This record gives sequence, structure tokens and C-alpha cells, in this order.
Amino acid sequence: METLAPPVVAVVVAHDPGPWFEETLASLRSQDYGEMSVLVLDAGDPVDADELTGRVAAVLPAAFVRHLDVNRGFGPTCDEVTSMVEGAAYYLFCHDDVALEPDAVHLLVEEAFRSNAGVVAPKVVSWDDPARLLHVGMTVDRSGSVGERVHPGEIDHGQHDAVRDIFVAPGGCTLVRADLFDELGGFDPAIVAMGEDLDFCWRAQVAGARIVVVPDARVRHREELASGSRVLAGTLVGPGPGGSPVTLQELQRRHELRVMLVCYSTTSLLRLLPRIVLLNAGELAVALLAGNRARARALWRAWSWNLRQVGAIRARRAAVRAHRRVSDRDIRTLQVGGSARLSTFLRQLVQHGFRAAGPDPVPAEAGGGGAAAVPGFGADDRRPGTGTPGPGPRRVPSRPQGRVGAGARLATWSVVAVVLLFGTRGLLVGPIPVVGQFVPFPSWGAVFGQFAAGWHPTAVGSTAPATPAFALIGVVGTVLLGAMGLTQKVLLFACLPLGAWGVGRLARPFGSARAALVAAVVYLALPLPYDALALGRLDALAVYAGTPWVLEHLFRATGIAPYARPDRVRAPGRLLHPTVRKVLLLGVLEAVLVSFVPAAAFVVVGSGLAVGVWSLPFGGIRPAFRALWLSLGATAVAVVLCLPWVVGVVAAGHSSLTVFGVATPPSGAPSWGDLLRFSSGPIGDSRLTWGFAVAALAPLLLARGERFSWAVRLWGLALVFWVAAWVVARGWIGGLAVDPLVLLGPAAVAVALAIGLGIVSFEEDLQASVFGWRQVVTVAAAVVVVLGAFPTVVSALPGRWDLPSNDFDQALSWMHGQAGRGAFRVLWLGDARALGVGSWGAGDGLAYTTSVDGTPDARWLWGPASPGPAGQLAAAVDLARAGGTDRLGTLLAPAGVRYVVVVTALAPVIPTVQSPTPYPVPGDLQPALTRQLDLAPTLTEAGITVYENTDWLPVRAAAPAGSPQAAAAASAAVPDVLATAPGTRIVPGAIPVLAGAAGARSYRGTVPRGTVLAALAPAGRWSLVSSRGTVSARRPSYGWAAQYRVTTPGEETLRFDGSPLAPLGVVFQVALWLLLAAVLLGRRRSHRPDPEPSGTGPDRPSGRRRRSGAAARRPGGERTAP
Amino acid sequence: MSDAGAEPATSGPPPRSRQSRRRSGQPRPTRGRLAVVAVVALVLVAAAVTDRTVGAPALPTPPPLADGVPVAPVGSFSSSAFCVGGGVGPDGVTATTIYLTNTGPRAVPGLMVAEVAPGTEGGQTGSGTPSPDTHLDLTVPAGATVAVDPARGLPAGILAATFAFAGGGIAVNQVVTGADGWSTAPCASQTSTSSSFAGGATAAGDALTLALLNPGSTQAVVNISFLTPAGVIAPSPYQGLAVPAGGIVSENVADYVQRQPEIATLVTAESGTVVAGQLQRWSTGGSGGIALRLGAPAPSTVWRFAQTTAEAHGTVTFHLANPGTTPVTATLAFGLPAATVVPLQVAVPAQSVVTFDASAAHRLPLGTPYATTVTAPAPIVVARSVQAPPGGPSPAWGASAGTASTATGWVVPAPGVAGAPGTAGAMVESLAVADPEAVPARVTVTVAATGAPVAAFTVAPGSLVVLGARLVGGLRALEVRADGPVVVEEDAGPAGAPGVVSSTGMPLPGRLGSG
Repeated sequence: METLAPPVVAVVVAHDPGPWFEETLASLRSQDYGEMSVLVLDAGDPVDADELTGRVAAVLPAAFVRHLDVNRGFGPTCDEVTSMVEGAAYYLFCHDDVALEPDAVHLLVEEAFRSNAGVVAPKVVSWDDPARLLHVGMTVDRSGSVGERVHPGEIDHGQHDAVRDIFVAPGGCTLVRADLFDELGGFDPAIVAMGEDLDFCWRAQVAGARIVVVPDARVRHREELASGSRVLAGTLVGPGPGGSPVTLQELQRRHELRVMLVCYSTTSLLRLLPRIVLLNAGELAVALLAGNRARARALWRAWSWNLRQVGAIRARRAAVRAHRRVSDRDIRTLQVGGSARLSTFLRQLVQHGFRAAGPDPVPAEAGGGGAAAVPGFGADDRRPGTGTPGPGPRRVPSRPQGRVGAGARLATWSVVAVVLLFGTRGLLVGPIPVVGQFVPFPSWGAVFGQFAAGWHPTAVGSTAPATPAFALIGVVGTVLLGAMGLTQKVLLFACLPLGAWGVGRLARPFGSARAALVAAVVYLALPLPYDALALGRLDALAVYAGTPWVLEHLFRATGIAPYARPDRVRAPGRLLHPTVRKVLLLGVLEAVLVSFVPAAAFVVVGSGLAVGVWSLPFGGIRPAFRALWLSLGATAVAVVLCLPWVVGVVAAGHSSLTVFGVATPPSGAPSWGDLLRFSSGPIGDSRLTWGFAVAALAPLLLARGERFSWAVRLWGLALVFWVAAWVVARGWIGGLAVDPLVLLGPAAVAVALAIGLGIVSFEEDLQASVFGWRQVVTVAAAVVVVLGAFPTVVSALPGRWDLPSNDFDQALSWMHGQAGRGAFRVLWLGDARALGVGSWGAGDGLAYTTSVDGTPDARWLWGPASPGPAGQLAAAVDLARAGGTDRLGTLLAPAGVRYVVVVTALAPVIPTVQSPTPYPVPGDLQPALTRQLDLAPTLTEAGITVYENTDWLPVRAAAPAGSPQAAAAASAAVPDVLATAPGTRIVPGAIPVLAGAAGARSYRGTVPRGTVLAALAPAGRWSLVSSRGTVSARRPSYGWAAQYRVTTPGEETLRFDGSPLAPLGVVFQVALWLLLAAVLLGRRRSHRPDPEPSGTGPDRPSGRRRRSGAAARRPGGERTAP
Repeated sequence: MSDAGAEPATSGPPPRSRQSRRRSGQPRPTRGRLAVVAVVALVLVAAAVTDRTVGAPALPTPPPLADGVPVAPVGSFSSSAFCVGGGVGPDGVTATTIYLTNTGPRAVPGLMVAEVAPGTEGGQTGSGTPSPDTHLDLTVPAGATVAVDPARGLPAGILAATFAFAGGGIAVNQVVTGADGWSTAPCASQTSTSSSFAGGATAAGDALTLALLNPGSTQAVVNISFLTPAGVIAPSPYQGLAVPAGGIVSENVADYVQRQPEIATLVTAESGTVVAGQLQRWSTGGSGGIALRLGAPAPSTVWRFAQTTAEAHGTVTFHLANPGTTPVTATLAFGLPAATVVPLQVAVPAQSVVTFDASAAHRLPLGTPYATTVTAPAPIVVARSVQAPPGGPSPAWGASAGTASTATGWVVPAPGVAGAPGTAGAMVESLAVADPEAVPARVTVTVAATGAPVAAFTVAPGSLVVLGARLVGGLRALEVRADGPVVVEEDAGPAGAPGVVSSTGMPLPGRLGSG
């Protein structure tokens, strides 16, 4: 009987299917849709072609079977249908591991008619457990990342049983209108797996077709490819760049990127591409930080693969343009907003904790080779693919104790996030005040210039190599597209979660998620980071963020349970011996830390020493030696990584210690109690904060076994750094002046971890105990911890962690406008903590530094260890304090010092508005400056006094011909005090010349006849060259500066002649960092894994597959494609 | 090493004690726990105790103001001296001579810039545009005293001389001479933001001139007010008074504070710093005198006079000014070589001045020098005036400021040098060294130029030693060194009585004590 039903051709792509294939065929045979024929495309091993034909014939005698010579992947294989089938109204593309309900095709076709849909998808459920949903259609975000509409493992209660439009019909079983398929040219032949459905559906929608899901049509799916049971043939995708194999994750990323590049219009692409680049860069950074090299590699290769496919993409774009009937604006309404990948990451973060946010907790189903739902940022590549073994399964605590439900975790982190965001809101939305080390970052180029230029304007000019911190800031700035304000905020505020994350990881080996959660939260509740914020201390924040990661390396190095790791032998294919790798990893971490905080070297070495010493009683000599060795080795690596800078520091001689910090007045040192409470600033100045140290005693009293030994180590660590901070703050160790806030970092980690250990002890060691004092101790510890966090929570209320809103930068903004009268320097005097930027000691806890043409920016954050000739400025101030001169301005004038600024508080003191931390200066300083006849008080307000030097000389000045003072400068170290009266320039008649920005390496301008005085050190590297190329003779000026005789007025250029060693040093340093990154990221020596005795050739099953030995041994089980 | 707290893998039944512990719910004790807890507690407590007992060193405090006259260190890069208040012409002053004493081992070059206060030419006072100044290059040889006439080349009037030295160790004092007598005072080596004087008068026959020098490079703006027994007088022209950079301003106090027998002057700089000097001419009946004084940089709670001698028929008066807003009760303690005198108390109303006639106090013997220490709970200003008995040589009246500081080293310049005395017959009559501390002070007096010893003695606590003309007479600058803080005052003649022409010493650097 003739029927009006449209003919449907079910296209089944078979690839050496397993025993389930008969069930697949049977489900097709059982369809109640009469006008359906079945075409089996055999992309498997040609040797088994007859066997497959027999299997098909046994179930579906009427089916057509076509054997293909080569496996081109699912999509390209399906494309064969256009040349083989005529007269079909619909194609039903099926994998060989699906089973359709008998009415599935009927319902799909019916809905296709009803909805006039071009593509129709069924509800996909698990093969083994049909109550579990796999897909009910999929969504896509702006960047082409596919998202699921159902949660992993979600039970089907009929909650999604409504026909609705979707963006992607997941592969596996898809009904496609035949004319649409033909018009669009089928699937993209370049997409062999992972993404062909996304590509086709996107193009279909561009062409105006609807895509709907029909939940009543149910299909079971085995997920053979996505689950790793089936390995994608290596020949299908070939090796990736560098020879390493291509993972499914990599395929997915590159195909998502390709689809986006193909399907968006040019306008949309221009608008979206920067955002996507930024997002990818962030993801790359997170992946690298999390040690997820697979993800980082996938990201990187996705871009490189697509960049190599520019021609093909352009052709595909032309095809899409030809079919376009729907604008991108309408397309975007069907997409989800934001980033699906970022959302997934954050969801996992809050639901499963920091560690769980790394790997994908539930393997994403790939739709049988189609698009896979996005894993989070930190997700690891745990899906077996083209023979790439993923890392082993995540270590799951063996003990049932300490489990924390997702809800509790979510609630906890939500509260923490709310407190942090609420407490930081004023800083997140507004500018960061210029307080302490929170100085504004200069332009992206200036930061790199500071690192690579070979000369910087700190002190009175220096050629000392700059710290790599400038390069690292530049890199972050590059990732953030040059937004240096954002860069500063990212660097500052990322320290809080980074530190907590590290502590969470550090506590996790103890096997209690609750303990890890508590330790991380306690670490965030300590006043230490907020005091660092309130006091503008970038160094303390950096150490706060980095110390947990340092300690994790050291703890693991001890090899003492639970930090023991059985990886002492080099794994096959590993490029480095594990021990060497550990040293290098910690060395890189230390190098980054030391670049920002040179004193972090003491943190690393001190931690290694403390962990080692306190391991002796409970672990023996070997763990102690390993921890110490690792810290020393890492420090050596850090030294090598920062070698040019370190050489510069060492070359400073006795001033080298300055790089670790400048002595501050012991009178203002935090007390022992302040240190124990981690409250050496305005936050946490309450007795309640004793709670942390008190609660940390709990494991000492309660813990047993390995937990007790770790409690001892943690307390040993804390005591060592508490005592060190106390002793250093009191000034009892001479010139070494490491800031207590920096040294408190390890103690903070130890206390947080000890409190977490107390939780573990409660869970493990008190199980068998009857109620007694131990339980009371536990409850008391919990209470005091909660109370201890109270001051921090209260401090969050104002919204800026007590960071002043008004800063000296505003009060001194007028200073920048004064440069029109000639370049000048500012001499800053005060407590090193108030000055913030790199400074040098001037005795009695007084520090000094300079800036050019106004207030300093981040280029002055890390100055050279030796002030060089700028030391004369301190000597002059010292002379004035001793009553040895009343013409200080005259002494400062040769360096171009126009303003002397005395800072006595962190920020302006404004009654009822802000009361910043005072930093008093020696009492004899202000009277001494007031007595100076050539210093005129210009600005006096609470916290700051500015004196103008009325005798100042511009940094680059021209003296009239025959000036006796200029002539005298050639032989005198200081100006003649009798030659000029107060209020007169030390070289009368001198005018500013050669204008230019601070930090420039050449200054050009018209110069009159006479003498050019240039206060730029080192004078020997500056030359004055005329427009005709004549080099003026250089003579010394005031001992350290230079003067040039100009006989013919005209255009002159004062230029810096850098040493060739400087760029060599920079190149060496960059090359070293890149090399080390490559070595550490390069996981394998070759993309070809070592053959195994029972190997199956190059396409060795993945680790996961090896573990599922039952499947591998199953008779007739799938084989890897050649 | 095995884990101290690990459970042994025993298969047999546990010992009884362990069994009983398990039954009672007590975990097995962990070895070393007590020791660890003890060590932790020991470190925590020991550090806490040390933290409390060993105080952190305090920041260096500002040095005492030392009356603005400390001698710059010998190795200084530069130093200055500011002589203000003298002149030629006003109030009968006929000559001003400045003496530069080099206490160092090397010659020090210098430059003097002298100028007359505008509007004071011809003996008038006032302010206006700066008048032309004179420059004089000079060198002060090592250990020598050089006399300079600052008025040379300048018109008559109130003058100021600013000295810049390319080095330190120079002590500068000046002597003014007039028809009514003569006076000597140290020149300031520092500027200050305030200046205070007690013991002025504008009664009939009296004249009081205030001179302000601004040696700085920017204009100074000052406020001048006066304390009288009737209260505060703050003339509006004296509020916001501008003193140009490098300029001098002179004001006749009587223009606004008329017929007041007791005046204290307070100068406060709103911006910049100044040096203030006051010239007082005093006369009554047929006798009189002049007094040149340098302003005290700040009120103080302690004032000291090394020697005071009340003579029969003469008068010694202490002038106490309280610039504060609350009344204070000052205590006057007297130190005598061989007697003890109960301290006296004087109430000083807020923002007012009072006098205390020491010569009328029965407790103080006549003709015997004594050291005086005035203390008050709040900063005050104290001066002393001496009126000689009738019939004595001129001058018969003089006044001097006390010193607020002590020191272990002093330079006492003479009122002239051989061949150039400050006035005819000028010489040092006596030198008094008082020990205000509670321990004896061993004192050595030498000649500043040569280092030749003059005397060595011990001063009893709270007492004084006076060296007479036999030892210190003449025109030699003296240097006093002690092993404890002392106060030094010289008395010069000719004068009608001790204390009429007197001057405190000038502290040497690094040896200042607190007030």
C-alpha cells in the first residue's frame, strides 16, 4: 500500500562495532515508521567488512551496506549519503552505539513536519541506565563553547519533556531534512570528530532552519567514543604539533574555534574575537597555574591549527555567506550569554571545591564524537582519545570522614565570596589609591622598557639590571590587552583566592574535605592579607598567595605521609627526573615570588629549614634533608632565572641587603602579641584574633600519629617565622630588614593548616573517645576561630579594607605640572613602609628615595640595591640632621632635587574621614629641614610636608657661557655655599634644556652656547651629540654628574649609550624562562609512547582503557582503528 | 624513625592497661606530646616576656631648641649666624660690633650680608622695601676672634647681619653701645618659627624695638602679639606681617603698646622662619641702660640663670610671661654654694605677665651669687632684669634672657677682642657654671683659642661656681666642658652691678641636654 509519509534513510556509520551493534540494528528494525530504509556505512577495518555485512544481514536483511576504504570520521562519512541516496526526505544519522525506541523516528518526523524544523534531535539517555539523561539538546555560548541543558547524571523525571528550539542537536542520532543537508553541503569534511554537529547546526540556523528537540523520542547511547572505550584512530587526525598525539579535548577546542570563525559574520567576529582571545588567555593562565598542561596545550594548538587553516576557513565563510538568511543578531538570541566554560568552572569551583574545579568531576559526554559539553577552566583532559593516556584518576580520600556536601561547600564559599566582594567593593569599582606599594602601573611599554632598557631613572639613574617582576607585570598586562589598571587589580586581588586555594590543596592530603575547607576559610579570615591591603603592601600579599604553594612542594619533598608520592623514579617518557622537576618547579615559583618580593627567598629557605628541622624528631634525617635540599635547590634555580638582576644586587656590595627591605624604626615594630594575632596593621586589632593561634593548639593536644607529627611541624614552622618576624622587627639582626608582614606568611599558612588539622584530629582521633576534655577543646577551638574571624568580617563593612580613599598622589598632583620649568627630582623621606617604592636606608629608621617630575609610579617599586650617587642625598640629609648645614637645598641641587617630601603617614590624615597608619620619622628631621635657609615649606598637612628647594637646578640645564659656578662644578663635589645666596640657583642663569619624559634614553632639544649640566648617572654612559653628529666633550660635574661644553648653539641630543651586555642579559633571561617553561610543560620526550610488551602498536590504549581491562578482553570487543 | 603516635600492629590481646584505657574511652598517650607542648609554651612565653621587658628603642627626638644659638659642628658643610636688633642710631645706640670666634682647627671663610631695616634710617622704625645691603667676604682664622662692624657702608638704623660660613665651629655674638650703656647678646645660628621675649617695657623713658630677620629664601608671614598684666594685645598691623626673603623688619612696640611697664612679646610665623631680636632702652631718673636680647625659639617649662646676685639698694626682677590659656604656678628654686633656700612659687595668670622681685625676698642673701631655676607646669617665658644701686658706673640697668637648655660644652665669647672691645673697658668680670642636675659635675674651663686651661673644678648638685675676674678676666673667649649638663653665664663690665651686662654661653654641638 502506498503511503504519504516522507521517506527516511537511516544512515548508520559503523566502525568495528561491538556486540551491542545487533541491538542497534534491531532498534532500527523495530521502528513503527514504515517509509524508512537503512544504510550502513562501514568505516571500520576492511578486513572485517564481510563480518559486518553478515551481522547486518542477520538482523536487517533489507539494509544496504557500503564499505569505505578509509575512515574519514563520522561527519565526512555521512557526507557519502548525498552521492548514494536519491529521493529521501530526511536523513537519520546514527552512530553504531545507539538504540532507538520503536516510535522514535515516527515522532521525530512528525515533529519535523509540525515545527517545520530542519534538524530534529531526540532525547538521549544512558544505554545502561535509561533513567539518566545525557542530552536534551545543547546550547552554545558566544565563543562556540557547547553547554548542556541537563546536569551530569540528571534523572529523567520528565522535566525536559517539551519540544523546544535548541542550538545544537547532539550527534548520535539526528534527523536532518535531506534538502537542507544537500544545500549546506553536508558536514564539514575537516571536522572528523568532536564538533561536526555544532558546525552543521550553526550553519543550518544561519540558513534559516529550525533545530528542535523532541523529548518523547528516546534514544539510548553507549558513548563509546566519549567514554574512552573506543579510541579515535590516530590516522584520522594525525599527530599534533611537536609530534604529540591529539586529544579529544584538543579536537573539541579547535573545532569550536573553527566553527565560530566560519559561522560568524565579519562584523560579529571583529567584535567578539578580542573577548574570546582574552577569555582564552585567562583560561590558559588558569590551566598553567593549575598544572593542567593538557588543557593549556589544547588551547594553544586550537589556535595554531586554525591559524594554519586560514584559507579553508575563508572558503567555508564564503559558503556560509552564500546561504545566510539569518543575521548574527538573531543567531545570538539563540545562544546563551556569558561564557559557558567559565560558568562551568565557577560552578564546579563552588560545588566541588578548588581541587575538584581542576578536573571535570563528571566526564562530559561527547555525543558520540560530536560536540562535548564544556568542562571548566581547570578541567583536565581525562577523556581518552587518540591513544593519549590521561592522568590517573583523581586521588579520592579513602576515609569517609570529612565529607562536605556540595550544598555546604556552596554555602560556605558563597558566604566567603560575599564577604570578600563586599569588603573589597570600593576597591573593585574604584581606583586603587596610591598607598604604600600600590603605586600606579605605567603603560605597558614602559613596564617592559623598565625591564629591558638597560637604564632606569630610579635613584639618580642606574644601569643595574631590573627585576624580572617588570617583565612578569608586562606579560600580565599583555594578556589583559594593556589595561594596566586592571593588571594592578588582578595582581592584587588574585592573591586572596590564590592563597586560599593553595591552603585548601595543602590540607587536602589529610583526607578531610571539611578540614581543607576550614583551613582555606581560616586562611582567608586571618587579618594578615587585609592588613597588607590596608597598608598598601604588595610584597606581603604576594607572599600570602605564594607561600601555600611553596609549602606544598616542601611538604611533598619530605615524603612523609600523607604528602608522600610514589614518583621517585622517572616515569617512562618523562623528560626530567622527578626530583629535578620538583626543584625546577619550586625554583620557578620562587623566582616569580622573589622577582616581586626579594625577601621571599628567606621564606622559601626558612620554610625548608623549619620543615626539615621539625621533621627530624618524627621523620628522620632523610625527609629533613630532602626539604632543605629542595629549598636550597629551588633558590639556586631562582637565582639562575633572575641572574642578571641578582648579579646587579650582589655588585651593590654592602648595600645588597637593601633589596630585602629597608630598616624601619624599631619603636614602631609590632609586638609579639600582634605577630601571634597576625595583626600588624589596622585590621584585626582585637583580642578576638587571638582565637586563631589558640585554636591552632588543638591538634597539638588532640592529634595522634602522623597528624600529631604534622601538628608539631606546623607549630615549628609558625614559631620559626613568628620569632624571625619579631627579631627582625626589633632590629636585632643588623642590616637585614625583612618586613614582618612578609615573614608572617608561612606562619599564617601553618596556623590555618593546624586549625584544619584540628578538624581532622576531631574526625579521626576522637572517634573512640568518650566525651571529655578533648571534645571540649575541639568545641572551644571552633568557637574561638569563629570569634577570631569576627574582626575581619567587621572590617569588610566599609568596603575597602581600611585602605585610605585619599592619597598623597592627589595631594601632590600639582607637582607633575611643574616639569615645565625643567625636569626635576623629588627626594622622599620617611619610613620605608610609607614610601612604598624602592628606597634606601638613611639611618634611625629613616628611608629615602627619589622620583622624577612628580610622584613615582611602579617603575620605582623595585630600585637598584645600591643608590649610587643618590647616596649623597642621604648624606646631605644626615648632615642637616646633625646641624652640619643650613643649606641642604644647595647640597641637593646638583641632583636636580626640587622638592623634599617628608611622609609621616600612609596617607593624608583627614579627621572624621580617614586615619591612616602613622609612620613617624626621627624627631630631628623636620626641625632640621625647617632650619634650612633654601628649603621653603610648600605644603604642610597632616601626614606630609613638602619643601621646595629654592636653589634647585634642573636635571638637564644649560649654564650661560663663562659661568664660574659651572666651571667650578667640574672640580668640586658640592656647590660653593658662599657663591650664591639662598633662593638663587646654584648655577645662576641656568635654564632647563633637553626636555623629555622620565626614563627616556635620549633627550633632544635646542641648546644655547654654554655648558650643559646633566644630572643623570652613570655620567659615562651619556653623550651629547649635535645634529651634525659632533660629540661634545664630557667633563665631570659635582663629582658624579656630567657637563658638556656647547660652543655652537643648535639642536643637540643627550643619549644613553647602553652596554651590549644589558640586552644580552635580557635575552639570556627571557630565553632561560622560556626554555624552562618548555621543559616543564613538555611532558614527553616524544609523541610516540614507549611500546609495551603487550602493546597494540602506536595506538596504545589509554591508561583509563587499560584499567578497564574487562572491556579490552571482551571477545569481539572494539579494536583501535589503524 | 617510626611515628611516635602510630598504632603498633599487634595481633594479640592488648595489655591490660591499654584495654582499660580503651574501655574508659581514653586514647593511648602520644609520646613526646608533653615535651612539644612545653617547648611551644616556653617559646611563646619567653618571647612575650622579652617583648615586654626589652622595650624597643625610641625614635630620635628633636634636639632641645637651645635658645637658637648652638654652635655648628666644626666639620659642617655650612653654617650661618644671624645678628639682629643692633644698629646705629635708634634708641641712642652709637655702635654695633659683631665678634666671630672660630672654635675649630681650620680657618673658615664666610660672607656677611648686612642691611638696615627699611624705614629705620635716622633712628625711625618701620617696614618697607628692603634697603641696599652690603657684602663682606671674610675669613675667621682657626682659634681666633674677628671683630666686624656691620654698619659700615650702611645708613643709620636697625640692622641685621647674616653670616654664611663654608664650615662650622663659629660662635658669633654682638655688642651694642649707646649713651645709656652697653649690652651683649649671642647671635642666632638657627631660625625658628616662633620667638618670645619677656621683660619689655614702654613706660615713660623706655623704648622697645623689635626686629625680625628672615634669612630664608621665601617670604615669611608673622603674627606679633604682646602680653601685658592687663591681657593680650594683638595689633592688627602686626597680624600677617610680611618679612621679605632675606629682609629685615623693625617695629617700635610703643606704637601699639603704650606706657606698659611690663610686656612680653610673642612672634609666631605663619609661614617661613625668622630670627627675632629686641632692643630695650630703659631709663629712670638719671640712670638707665640698654638690653639687646635674642628671642627664645619657644616657651619652655624650665628656665635657668647660672648666676644672679642681688645687691643692697639694687633690684633683681624676674619677668614671667604665660602665653598659655590656663594659669600656671611657677616655682623658683635657688641654688647657693653653702645654703638651702626653700623654693618660691609665683602664680602667673593665663596670657599675662608678672614680675617677681628677687631682691626683696628675705630668703636670698644679698651680695651672694645664686643659681636660679624657674619651672612651670606649662611653657612660659622668663627673663631677668637687674637695676644697679645708685651711684655706680654705667650702665645701671640691664636685662638678659635665661636659657632653657643645658649642655656639657659651652663657648663663652667675650664682649670684644683686644684692640676692639665692645665698649671702652669691656671685659669679662666673672663666669658662673651652675649644675642643675642631682649629681656633681666636673668642669674644665679653657681658653677657646689656645686650649690653655683656666680652671678645673667640681660643681655641687644644684649649686654653682663663679670664677672671678682674676681667672677669666679680659677679652678671651672661653670654652667650658663638663662631664654632666651645666648652665653657663658670663658677667661683663663695666656695669653698675653683676647681671647688668650678662650673657649666657653658646652650647657646643652634640652636647645638648633636655630642658
